[in-house]
Amino acid sequence: MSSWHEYMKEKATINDLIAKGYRVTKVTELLDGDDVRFERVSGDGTLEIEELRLLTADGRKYLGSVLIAQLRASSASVSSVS
Amino acid sequence: MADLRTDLAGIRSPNPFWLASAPPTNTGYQVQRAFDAGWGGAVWKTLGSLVINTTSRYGGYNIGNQRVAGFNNIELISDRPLEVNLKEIYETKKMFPNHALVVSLMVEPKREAWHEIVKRVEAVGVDGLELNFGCPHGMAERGMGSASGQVPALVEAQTSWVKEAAQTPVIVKLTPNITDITATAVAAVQGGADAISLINTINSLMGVDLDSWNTIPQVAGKGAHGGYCGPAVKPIALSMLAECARHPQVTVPISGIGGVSTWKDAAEFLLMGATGVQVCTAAMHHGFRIVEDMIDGLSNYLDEKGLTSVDELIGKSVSKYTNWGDLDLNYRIVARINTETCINCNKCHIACEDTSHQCIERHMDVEGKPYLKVREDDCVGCNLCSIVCPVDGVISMVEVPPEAQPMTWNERVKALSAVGSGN
Ligand SMILES: Cc1cc2nc3c(=O)[nH]c(=O)nc-3n(C[C@H](O)[C@H](O)[C@H](O)COP(=O)(O)O)c2cc1C
Repeated sequence: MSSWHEYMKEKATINDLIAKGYRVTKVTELLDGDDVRFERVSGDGTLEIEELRLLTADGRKYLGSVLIAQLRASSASVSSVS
Repeated sequence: MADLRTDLAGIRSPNPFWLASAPPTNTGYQVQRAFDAGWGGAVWKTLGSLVINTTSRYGGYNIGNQRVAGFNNIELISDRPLEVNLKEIYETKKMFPNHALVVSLMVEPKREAWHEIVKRVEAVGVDGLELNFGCPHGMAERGMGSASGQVPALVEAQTSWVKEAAQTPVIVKLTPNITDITATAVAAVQGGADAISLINTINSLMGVDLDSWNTIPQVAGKGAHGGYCGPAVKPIALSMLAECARHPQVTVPISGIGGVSTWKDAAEFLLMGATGVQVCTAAMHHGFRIVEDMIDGLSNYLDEKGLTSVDELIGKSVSKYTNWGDLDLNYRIVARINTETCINCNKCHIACEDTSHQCIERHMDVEGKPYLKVREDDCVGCNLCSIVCPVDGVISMVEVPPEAQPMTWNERVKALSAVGSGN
């Protein structure tokens, strides 16, 4: 599989998790890729965790952009609350 | 016509093109002819402790059809008596009062030695002094040139000794034979330099003769390392210039040297922060008259850009030169091949397949004619195919819409640490 297709699969998984309300809570950078931890709190208050290993450079890059957007959104909501 | 005049730390010149301290500026006869030809300034061949040169001094590096892509020398500083040089400098300055006449100096790292030569040289009426802390061979073995130019404390001390005696602006010429040229640039500024110039020649051994097994050049069967210059060193000189130009503690003007052969090279140096340029190898290869094209070319370029003076060009690219960690990782370009003009030599395909990302495919059209096509999704935009393509304009690197907002490596690292990361 070309690394582009591999990346498209990783991107789709990230987008899917984000669409389902997950947030990135931890990234562990390893020699074999980035391990990413996603968390969300479900309707009944349970913490749900998903873990994903990103292998492609484009996937790790995309996650960086997703994370920056997430941090910007949360700092915007914090400042609009305060 | 745009105003080409420059002012480097008070040294005025009718244009930014100076001859560097080297064989072209060895005598009054040569410098006067150079000024007649149009050069705006000259840095006289280095004066100082008297030397004896070897015969067989130069080596040329030819690449394919390009002669003198690089040039190497094991020549030392001026071997003519100081008094003879001073007389010719005096006469030259009298004949050309409006040209920049700077004299390059090199003596032992001793305060009295610097004071003595500075006073004698300034007495004949020069526009400035250039301290040669850069020559990599011969003089370095006696503690001069790059031997003292590689030690920031010695650069600072010697500059300050010169400044104690000097009445004219002092330019410190730096050696590139050092890991971080900004260390010596800052030392020069701290020593009181009015300007810096860079680069002098790079340590080199030109080659080995495959028949005699002698070095090139050789002196009675033996060789020694020399100094490398000419077109091949331009990228090295430009990067050293850029590092100095953007360094907050390098607060003095810079004279750019190293591989300048055309007005375009000069314009690049000016954009990257040089107030003017110095030229040696190109003049040695093609003669003094190359300055005519340099003046015309730069002048036309300034006119085309709507600029009225060369000052408006100086330093305009410095802020575009940054750290790798501040480059946008989401910026994306891909290769596109113009199948109309492509000659199907397959060089791009081979380069990509063997040494890059295997994304240039070979196809046949319905008439059985071969053509090449980039699989853009897999193209990383490395530029290799466009670099190896022998036909200009066939492969263009085109910008494609980014997938996300701009993001640098440093921003990514910051974001990762904000959520908690480990490795
Ligand atoms: C044969 C030769 C002799 C040189 N002698 C001197 C010298 O006496 N003093 C000095 O500061 N630089 C000397 N240089 C270095 C040049 O001034 C210049 O820094 C270097 O050649 C890079 O410029 P270029 O690429 O235009 O040649 C010499 C260079 C050559 C090729």
